[in-house]
Amino acid sequence: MNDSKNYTQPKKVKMLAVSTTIWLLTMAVAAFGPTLLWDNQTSITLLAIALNLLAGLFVIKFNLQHWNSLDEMMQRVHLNAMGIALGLGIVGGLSFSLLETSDIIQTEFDLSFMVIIMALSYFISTMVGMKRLR
Amino acid sequence: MKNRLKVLRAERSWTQNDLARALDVSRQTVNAIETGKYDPSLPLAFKISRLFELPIEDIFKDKQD
Repeated sequence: MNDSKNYTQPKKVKMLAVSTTIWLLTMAVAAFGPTLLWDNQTSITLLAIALNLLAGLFVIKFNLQHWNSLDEMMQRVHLNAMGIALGLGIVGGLSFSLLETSDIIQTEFDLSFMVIIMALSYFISTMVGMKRLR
Repeated sequence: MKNRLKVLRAERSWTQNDLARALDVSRQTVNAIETGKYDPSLPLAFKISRLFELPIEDIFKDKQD
């Protein structure tokens, strides 16, 4: 018989990787473009943000396609990881926000902290889940 | 949940890859089921049952049985 289904389907992973890279590039353009490229012209900034949003929608689409291409065990691993990432992002983010509003810490809450927490927890949870079932 | 998947597969001289291909899952999933680390969904259990032409209860056993 031929090879069994892979953990992930390379073509779907490639599409996800390409769309994510494009999304990150449009994010960088939208973030730094107003000051570095087009001297804060609102119309161009709006266009850059719209492009970033469009690229983000493609990331969601390809992420869903990738998830649907996984077999049921891997879907469960990713679902658990998503749950942990979402939970930690919300709980951790709100705790951080409370510390800031209570003036216990002086660091200003930045949305990127939450994104980093969620991304790292998703990655670690996926690795742990895969190792457990190996 | 315990199962006889490894025995049934060996009786047919199938590799984990062969079984995974027949079930349209990854080899890692077959391995995880065989080692009891992962319990398959009901649709996958029925697929396994059809493949081996055995009732589900002859393949999978509750740990309390």
